[in-house]
Amino acid sequence: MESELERLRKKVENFPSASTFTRLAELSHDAGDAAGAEEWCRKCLRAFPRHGMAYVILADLQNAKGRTEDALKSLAAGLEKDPRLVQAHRAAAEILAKAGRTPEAVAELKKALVIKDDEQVRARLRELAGSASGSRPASPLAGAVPAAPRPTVPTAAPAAPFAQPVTTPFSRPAAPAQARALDHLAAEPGIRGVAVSDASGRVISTKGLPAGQDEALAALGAEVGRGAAMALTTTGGGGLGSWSVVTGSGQILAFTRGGQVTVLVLAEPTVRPAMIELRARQVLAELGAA
Amino acid sequence: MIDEILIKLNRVRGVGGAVVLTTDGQVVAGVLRQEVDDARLAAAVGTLLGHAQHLASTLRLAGGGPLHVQGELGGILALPVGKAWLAIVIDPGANLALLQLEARPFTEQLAAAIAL
Repeated sequence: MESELERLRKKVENFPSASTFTRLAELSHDAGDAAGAEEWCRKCLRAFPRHGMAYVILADLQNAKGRTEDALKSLAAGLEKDPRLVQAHRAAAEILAKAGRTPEAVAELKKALVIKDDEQVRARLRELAGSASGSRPASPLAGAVPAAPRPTVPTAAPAAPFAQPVTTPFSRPAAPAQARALDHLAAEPGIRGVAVSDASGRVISTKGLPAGQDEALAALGAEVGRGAAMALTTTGGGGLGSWSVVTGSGQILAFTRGGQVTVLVLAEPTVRPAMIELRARQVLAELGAA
Repeated sequence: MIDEILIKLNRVRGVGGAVVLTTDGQVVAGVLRQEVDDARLAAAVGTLLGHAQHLASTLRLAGGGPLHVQGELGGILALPVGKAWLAIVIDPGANLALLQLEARPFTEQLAAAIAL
Protein backbone atom coordinates (compact mmCIF):
# COMPACT_ATOMS: atom_id res chain seq x y z
CA MET A 1 0.00 0.00 0.00
CA GLU A 2 2.89 2.33 0.81
CA SER A 3 4.27 1.98 -2.72
CA GLU A 4 0.83 2.63 -4.18
CA LEU A 5 0.54 5.73 -2.00
CA GLU A 6 3.95 6.90 -3.12
CA ARG A 7 3.13 6.25 -6.78
CA LEU A 8 -0.10 8.23 -6.52
CA ARG A 9 1.65 11.05 -4.64
CA LYS A 10 4.08 11.42 -7.55
CA LYS A 11 1.26 11.12 -10.06
CA VAL A 12 -0.83 13.81 -8.43
CA GLU A 13 2.13 16.19 -8.50
CA ASN A 14 2.52 15.74 -12.26
CA PHE A 15 -1.11 15.12 -13.27
CA PRO A 16 -3.42 16.43 -10.59
CA SER A 17 -6.83 14.87 -11.03
CA ALA A 18 -9.78 14.69 -8.68
CA SER A 19 -9.93 10.91 -8.79
CA THR A 20 -6.25 10.59 -7.83
CA PHE A 21 -6.75 12.91 -4.85
CA THR A 22 -9.75 10.93 -3.62
CA ARG A 23 -7.94 7.62 -4.16
CA LEU A 24 -5.05 8.99 -2.06
CA ALA A 25 -7.54 9.94 0.65
CA GLU A 26 -9.02 6.43 0.64
CA LEU A 27 -5.60 4.76 0.75
CA SER A 28 -4.43 7.04 3.59
CA HIS A 29 -7.58 6.22 5.52
CA ASP A 30 -7.08 2.48 4.93
CA ALA A 31 -3.50 2.88 6.21
CA GLY A 32 -4.86 4.40 9.45
CA ASP A 33 -3.81 7.95 8.59
CA ALA A 34 -7.14 9.78 9.11
CA ALA A 35 -5.50 13.23 9.26
CA GLY A 36 -3.63 12.56 6.02
CA ALA A 37 -6.84 11.34 4.38
CA GLU A 38 -8.66 14.52 5.39
CA GLU A 39 -5.80 16.62 4.08
CA TRP A 40 -5.97 14.88 0.66
CA CYS A 41 -9.70 15.60 0.54
CA ARG A 42 -9.09 19.26 1.29
CA LYS A 43 -6.36 19.45 -1.37
CA CYS A 44 -8.78 17.87 -3.83
CA LEU A 45 -11.45 20.42 -2.99
CA ARG A 46 -8.99 23.29 -3.37
CA ALA A 47 -8.01 22.07 -6.83
CA PHE A 48 -11.42 20.69 -7.89
CA PRO A 49 -14.06 22.48 -5.81
CA ARG A 50 -16.90 20.90 -7.76
CA HIS A 51 -15.80 17.29 -7.22
CA GLY A 52 -18.68 16.05 -5.09
CA MET A 53 -17.20 12.70 -4.05
CA ALA A 54 -14.42 14.47 -2.15
CA TYR A 55 -17.08 16.04 0.08
CA VAL A 56 -18.62 12.62 0.69
CA ILE A 57 -15.26 11.07 1.64
CA LEU A 58 -14.44 14.07 3.83
CA ALA A 59 -17.81 13.73 5.57
CA ASP A 60 -17.17 10.04 6.15
CA LEU A 61 -13.83 10.85 7.79
CA GLN A 62 -15.39 13.57 9.96
CA ASN A 63 -18.27 11.31 10.98
CA ALA A 64 -15.83 8.55 11.94
CA LYS A 65 -14.23 11.02 14.36
CA GLY A 66 -17.63 11.85 15.84
CA ARG A 67 -17.78 15.27 14.14
CA THR A 68 -21.36 14.75 13.02
CA GLU A 69 -22.23 18.38 12.35
CA ASP A 70 -19.03 18.94 10.37
CA ALA A 71 -19.86 15.85 8.32
CA LEU A 72 -23.36 17.14 7.58
CA LYS A 73 -21.94 20.53 6.61
CA SER A 74 -19.50 18.85 4.21
CA LEU A 75 -22.33 16.88 2.62
CA ALA A 76 -24.44 20.04 2.30
CA ALA A 77 -21.49 21.78 0.63
CA GLY A 78 -21.11 18.85 -1.77
CA LEU A 79 -24.80 18.99 -2.64
CA GLU A 80 -24.56 22.72 -3.22
CA LYS A 81 -21.86 22.08 -5.83
CA ASP A 82 -23.53 19.00 -7.28
CA PRO A 83 -27.23 18.69 -6.45
CA ARG A 84 -27.36 15.25 -8.10
CA LEU A 85 -24.78 13.78 -5.73
CA VAL A 86 -26.86 10.81 -4.63
CA GLN A 87 -24.06 9.46 -2.41
CA ALA A 88 -24.25 12.65 -0.32
CA HIS A 89 -27.97 12.19 0.32
CA ARG A 90 -27.41 8.55 1.30
CA ALA A 91 -24.50 9.42 3.60
CA ALA A 92 -26.49 12.24 5.19
CA ALA A 93 -29.41 9.87 5.75
CA GLU A 94 -27.20 7.38 7.61
CA ILE A 95 -25.66 10.07 9.81
CA LEU A 96 -29.08 11.54 10.60
CA ALA A 97 -30.61 8.13 11.28
CA LYS A 98 -27.79 7.28 13.67
CA ALA A 99 -28.38 10.59 15.44
CA GLY A 100 -32.06 9.69 15.85
CA ARG A 101 -33.17 12.34 13.37
CA THR A 102 -35.30 9.87 11.44
CA PRO A 103 -37.66 12.26 9.60
CA GLU A 104 -34.65 14.16 8.21
CA ALA A 105 -32.98 10.87 7.27
CA VAL A 106 -36.14 9.78 5.46
CA ALA A 107 -36.24 13.10 3.60
CA GLU A 108 -32.64 12.58 2.43
CA LEU A 109 -33.39 9.08 1.18
CA LYS A 110 -36.40 10.38 -0.72
CA LYS A 111 -34.18 12.95 -2.41
CA ALA A 112 -31.73 10.17 -3.31
CA LEU A 113 -34.58 8.17 -4.87
CA VAL A 114 -35.73 11.11 -6.94
CA ILE A 115 -32.24 11.33 -8.43
CA LYS A 116 -31.78 7.62 -8.97
CA ASP A 117 -33.97 4.66 -8.17
CA ASP A 118 -32.16 2.07 -6.10
CA GLU A 119 -33.63 -0.96 -4.37
CA GLN A 120 -31.16 -0.66 -1.45
CA VAL A 121 -32.27 2.92 -0.83
CA ARG A 122 -35.92 1.91 -1.04
CA ALA A 123 -35.32 -0.92 1.43
CA ARG A 124 -33.56 1.44 3.84
CA LEU A 125 -36.36 3.94 3.42
CA ARG A 126 -38.96 1.28 4.28
CA GLU A 127 -36.89 0.35 7.32
CA LEU A 128 -36.60 3.94 8.54
CA ALA A 129 -40.21 4.81 7.72
CA GLY A 130 -41.27 1.69 9.60
CA SER A 131 -39.26 2.61 12.67
CA ALA A 132 -40.63 6.16 12.54
CA SER A 133 -44.21 4.93 12.28
CA GLY A 134 -43.48 2.50 15.15
CA SER A 135 -42.68 5.38 17.45
CA ARG A 136 -45.36 7.62 16.01
CA PRO A 137 -48.30 5.61 14.72
CA ALA A 138 -49.79 8.52 12.82
CA SER A 139 -46.61 9.19 10.84
CA PRO A 140 -47.38 10.22 7.30
CA LEU A 141 -43.97 9.04 6.07
CA ALA A 142 -44.95 5.57 4.92
CA GLY A 143 -47.40 6.87 2.40
CA ALA A 144 -45.12 9.56 1.09
CA VAL A 145 -42.33 7.46 -0.39
CA PRO A 146 -41.84 8.59 -3.97
CA ALA A 147 -42.60 6.20 -6.77
CA ALA A 148 -39.71 4.63 -8.64
CA PRO A 149 -38.58 7.08 -11.32
CA ARG A 150 -38.90 4.63 -14.19
CA PRO A 151 -42.35 5.11 -15.63
CA THR A 152 -41.47 3.73 -19.02
CA VAL A 153 -43.16 0.59 -20.19
CA PRO A 154 -45.43 -1.53 -18.03
CA THR A 155 -43.39 -4.19 -16.30
CA ALA A 156 -44.29 -7.70 -15.21
CA ALA A 157 -42.20 -7.34 -12.04
CA PRO A 158 -44.23 -6.99 -8.86
CA ALA A 159 -44.52 -3.43 -7.66
CA ALA A 160 -42.55 -2.42 -4.60
CA PRO A 161 -44.79 -1.84 -1.56
CA PHE A 162 -44.28 1.91 -1.77
CA ALA A 163 -44.53 2.23 -5.50
CA GLN A 164 -47.38 4.28 -6.86
CA PRO A 165 -49.36 2.75 -9.71
CA VAL A 166 -47.42 3.31 -12.90
CA THR A 167 -49.45 5.24 -15.40
CA THR A 168 -47.37 5.60 -18.48
CA PRO A 169 -48.46 7.65 -21.44
CA PHE A 170 -45.76 6.29 -23.67
CA SER A 171 -47.85 3.89 -25.70
CA ARG A 172 -50.55 6.49 -26.20
CA PRO A 173 -50.63 9.88 -27.89
CA ALA A 174 -48.87 12.59 -25.89
CA ALA A 175 -50.96 14.26 -23.18
CA PRO A 176 -51.50 18.04 -23.56
CA ALA A 177 -48.71 19.01 -21.13
CA GLN A 178 -46.24 16.69 -22.85
CA ALA A 179 -47.28 17.91 -26.28
CA ARG A 180 -46.81 21.50 -25.10
CA ALA A 181 -43.31 20.77 -23.79
CA LEU A 182 -42.42 19.13 -27.08
CA ASP A 183 -43.88 22.09 -29.01
CA HIS A 184 -41.78 24.52 -26.97
CA LEU A 185 -38.62 22.53 -27.63
CA ALA A 186 -39.34 22.19 -31.35
CA ALA A 187 -40.12 25.92 -31.57
CA GLU A 188 -36.68 26.97 -30.27
CA PRO A 189 -34.66 28.84 -32.91
CA GLY A 190 -32.39 26.50 -34.86
CA ILE A 191 -34.22 23.29 -33.95
CA ARG A 192 -35.07 21.22 -37.01
CA GLY A 193 -37.06 18.55 -35.23
CA VAL A 194 -37.46 16.48 -32.09
CA ALA A 195 -38.20 12.84 -31.38
CA VAL A 196 -38.87 11.09 -28.09
CA SER A 197 -37.96 7.42 -28.06
CA ASP A 198 -38.11 4.49 -25.67
CA ALA A 199 -35.19 2.24 -24.67
CA SER A 200 -35.72 0.05 -27.73
CA GLY A 201 -35.43 2.99 -30.11
CA ARG A 202 -39.15 3.19 -30.93
CA VAL A 203 -40.69 6.61 -31.52
CA ILE A 204 -43.00 7.70 -28.70
CA SER A 205 -43.63 11.17 -29.96
CA THR A 206 -42.20 13.43 -32.65
CA LYS A 207 -42.34 17.02 -33.84
CA GLY A 208 -40.98 18.72 -36.94
CA LEU A 209 -39.20 15.73 -38.45
CA PRO A 210 -40.21 14.29 -41.83
CA ALA A 211 -41.76 10.80 -41.81
CA GLY A 212 -39.03 8.20 -41.73
CA GLN A 213 -36.39 10.57 -40.38
CA ASP A 214 -37.92 10.43 -36.89
CA GLU A 215 -37.78 6.63 -36.91
CA ALA A 216 -34.16 6.64 -38.13
CA LEU A 217 -33.20 9.18 -35.47
CA ALA A 218 -34.89 7.14 -32.71
CA ALA A 219 -33.57 3.74 -33.81
CA LEU A 220 -30.00 4.77 -34.59
CA GLY A 221 -30.00 7.14 -31.61
CA ALA A 222 -30.72 4.16 -29.35
CA GLU A 223 -27.64 2.43 -30.81
CA VAL A 224 -25.51 5.50 -30.07
CA GLY A 225 -26.99 5.65 -26.56
CA ARG A 226 -26.03 2.05 -25.86
CA GLY A 227 -22.51 2.69 -27.20
CA ALA A 228 -22.23 5.83 -25.09
CA ALA A 229 -23.33 3.98 -21.94
CA MET A 230 -20.76 1.27 -22.64
CA ALA A 231 -17.99 3.82 -23.16
CA LEU A 232 -18.91 5.51 -19.87
CA THR A 233 -18.67 2.15 -18.10
CA THR A 234 -14.99 1.90 -19.08
CA THR A 235 -14.21 5.22 -17.37
CA GLY A 236 -16.49 4.88 -14.33
CA GLY A 237 -18.57 7.77 -15.64
CA GLY A 238 -21.83 6.47 -14.16
CA GLY A 239 -25.21 6.33 -15.84
CA LEU A 240 -25.72 8.07 -19.17
CA GLY A 241 -27.26 11.54 -19.01
CA SER A 242 -26.71 12.94 -22.48
CA TRP A 243 -24.75 12.63 -25.69
CA SER A 244 -24.21 14.85 -28.70
CA VAL A 245 -22.72 14.61 -32.15
CA VAL A 246 -21.76 17.86 -33.86
CA THR A 247 -21.04 18.05 -37.59
CA GLY A 248 -20.48 20.94 -39.96
CA SER A 249 -24.08 20.79 -41.19
CA GLY A 250 -26.00 20.00 -38.02
CA GLN A 251 -25.95 18.47 -34.59
CA ILE A 252 -27.80 15.70 -32.85
CA LEU A 253 -28.31 15.94 -29.11
CA ALA A 254 -29.87 13.33 -26.85
CA PHE A 255 -30.96 13.67 -23.23
CA THR A 256 -32.05 10.73 -21.19
CA ARG A 257 -32.77 9.57 -17.69
CA GLY A 258 -31.79 6.00 -17.03
CA GLY A 259 -31.87 5.21 -20.74
CA GLN A 260 -35.60 4.47 -20.60
CA VAL A 261 -36.82 7.58 -22.39
CA THR A 262 -34.66 9.74 -24.60
CA VAL A 263 -35.33 13.13 -26.11
CA LEU A 264 -33.46 13.41 -29.41
CA VAL A 265 -33.00 16.80 -31.03
CA LEU A 266 -31.83 17.57 -34.55
CA ALA A 267 -30.51 21.14 -34.65
CA GLU A 268 -28.46 23.63 -36.61
CA PRO A 269 -24.74 23.40 -35.80
CA THR A 270 -24.74 26.88 -34.25
CA VAL A 271 -27.41 26.23 -31.61
CA ARG A 272 -26.15 26.30 -28.02
CA PRO A 273 -26.53 22.85 -26.42
CA ALA A 274 -27.25 24.34 -22.97
CA MET A 275 -30.42 26.01 -24.25
CA ILE A 276 -31.59 22.78 -25.86
CA GLU A 277 -30.86 20.83 -22.71
CA LEU A 278 -33.10 23.07 -20.61
CA ARG A 279 -36.06 22.50 -22.92
CA ALA A 280 -35.31 18.80 -23.41
CA ARG A 281 -35.20 18.22 -19.65
CA GLN A 282 -38.60 19.91 -19.44
CA VAL A 283 -39.92 17.37 -21.93
CA LEU A 284 -38.42 14.54 -19.85
CA ALA A 285 -40.00 16.01 -16.73
CA GLU A 286 -43.39 16.26 -18.41
CA LEU A 287 -43.06 12.66 -19.52
CA GLY A 288 -42.45 11.72 -15.91
CA ALA A 289 -38.97 10.48 -16.62
CA ALA A 290 -37.12 13.04 -14.55
CA MET B 1 5.89 12.93 -29.06
CA ILE B 2 2.20 12.00 -28.92
CA ASP B 3 2.66 10.85 -25.32
CA GLU B 4 4.22 14.20 -24.40
CA ILE B 5 1.27 16.09 -25.86
CA LEU B 6 -1.15 13.87 -23.95
CA ILE B 7 0.76 14.39 -20.70
CA LYS B 8 0.46 18.17 -21.16
CA LEU B 9 -3.22 17.82 -22.01
CA ASN B 10 -3.75 15.91 -18.75
CA ARG B 11 -2.69 19.03 -16.84
CA VAL B 12 -5.71 20.92 -18.16
CA ARG B 13 -8.38 21.31 -15.49
CA GLY B 14 -11.22 18.88 -15.99
CA VAL B 15 -9.17 16.35 -17.95
CA GLY B 16 -9.03 12.94 -16.28
CA GLY B 17 -7.01 11.21 -18.99
CA ALA B 18 -6.78 10.96 -22.76
CA VAL B 19 -6.27 8.37 -25.45
CA VAL B 20 -5.58 8.69 -29.19
CA LEU B 21 -7.31 5.99 -31.19
CA THR B 22 -7.88 4.96 -34.77
CA THR B 23 -11.39 5.03 -36.22
CA ASP B 24 -11.63 1.26 -35.69
CA GLY B 25 -10.88 1.60 -31.98
CA GLN B 26 -7.19 0.71 -31.80
CA VAL B 27 -5.01 2.57 -29.28
CA VAL B 28 -2.35 4.85 -30.76
CA ALA B 29 -1.27 6.31 -27.40
CA GLY B 30 -2.89 6.86 -24.05
CA VAL B 31 -2.32 8.55 -20.69
CA LEU B 32 -5.07 7.43 -18.36
CA ARG B 33 -5.77 6.77 -14.71
CA GLN B 34 -4.69 3.38 -13.42
CA GLU B 35 -8.24 2.07 -13.22
CA VAL B 36 -9.08 2.95 -16.84
CA ASP B 37 -8.00 0.42 -19.45
CA ASP B 38 -6.93 2.31 -22.59
CA ALA B 39 -7.68 -0.63 -24.91
CA ARG B 40 -11.21 -1.03 -23.53
CA LEU B 41 -11.87 2.69 -23.68
CA ALA B 42 -10.54 2.96 -27.25
CA ALA B 43 -12.61 -0.03 -28.36
CA ALA B 44 -15.77 1.39 -26.79
CA VAL B 45 -15.20 4.87 -28.22
CA GLY B 46 -14.38 3.37 -31.64
CA THR B 47 -17.71 1.48 -31.63
CA LEU B 48 -19.53 4.59 -30.45
CA LEU B 49 -17.98 6.69 -33.22
CA GLY B 50 -19.12 4.09 -35.76
CA HIS B 51 -22.72 4.31 -34.53
CA ALA B 52 -22.59 8.12 -34.42
CA GLN B 53 -21.21 8.35 -37.96
CA HIS B 54 -23.89 5.96 -39.20
CA LEU B 55 -26.57 8.13 -37.58
CA ALA B 56 -25.07 11.35 -38.98
CA SER B 57 -24.78 9.99 -42.51
CA THR B 58 -28.35 8.59 -42.40
CA LEU B 59 -29.57 12.08 -41.49
CA ARG B 60 -27.33 13.51 -44.23
CA LEU B 61 -25.16 15.48 -41.84
CA ALA B 62 -21.76 15.91 -43.46
CA GLY B 63 -18.41 16.04 -41.72
CA GLY B 64 -17.43 14.29 -38.50
CA GLY B 65 -17.10 16.64 -35.55
CA PRO B 66 -16.90 16.38 -31.79
CA LEU B 67 -18.82 13.71 -29.94
CA HIS B 68 -19.65 14.26 -26.29
CA VAL B 69 -21.02 11.77 -23.79
CA GLN B 70 -22.01 12.89 -20.30
CA GLY B 71 -22.63 10.56 -17.39
CA GLU B 72 -23.52 11.14 -13.76
CA LEU B 73 -19.88 10.85 -12.65
CA GLY B 74 -17.97 12.21 -15.63
CA GLY B 75 -17.92 12.17 -19.38
CA ILE B 76 -16.01 11.56 -22.58
CA LEU B 77 -15.24 14.05 -25.32
CA ALA B 78 -14.05 12.64 -28.65
CA LEU B 79 -12.39 15.06 -31.05
CA PRO B 80 -11.06 14.36 -34.54
CA VAL B 81 -7.28 14.66 -34.86
CA GLY B 82 -6.37 14.16 -38.51
CA LYS B 83 -7.31 10.60 -39.45
CA ALA B 84 -7.45 9.55 -35.80
CA TRP B 85 -9.53 10.56 -32.79
CA LEU B 86 -8.67 11.93 -29.39
CA ALA B 87 -10.89 10.72 -26.54
CA ILE B 88 -10.67 12.87 -23.41
CA VAL B 89 -11.99 11.52 -20.11
CA ILE B 90 -13.78 14.43 -18.41
CA ASP B 91 -13.90 14.86 -14.66
CA PRO B 92 -17.32 15.45 -13.08
CA GLY B 93 -18.23 19.12 -12.97
CA ALA B 94 -15.76 20.12 -15.69
CA ASN B 95 -16.62 23.12 -17.84
CA LEU B 96 -17.12 21.51 -21.23
CA ALA B 97 -17.02 24.70 -23.28
CA LEU B 98 -13.78 25.80 -21.64
CA LEU B 99 -12.30 22.35 -21.95
CA GLN B 100 -13.09 22.25 -25.68
CA LEU B 101 -11.41 25.61 -26.07
CA GLU B 102 -8.33 24.54 -24.13
CA ALA B 103 -8.13 21.21 -25.97
CA ARG B 104 -7.98 22.86 -29.39
CA PRO B 105 -4.20 23.54 -29.49
CA PHE B 106 -3.59 19.97 -28.35
CA THR B 107 -5.73 18.52 -31.14
CA GLU B 108 -3.79 20.63 -33.64
CA GLN B 109 -0.48 19.39 -32.24
CA LEU B 110 -1.70 15.80 -32.25
CA ALA B 111 -2.97 16.06 -35.83
CA ALA B 112 0.45 17.37 -36.89
CA ALA B 113 2.25 14.64 -34.94
CA ILE B 114 0.07 11.89 -36.43
CA ALA B 115 0.59 13.23 -39.95
CA LEU B 116 4.38 12.94 -39.59
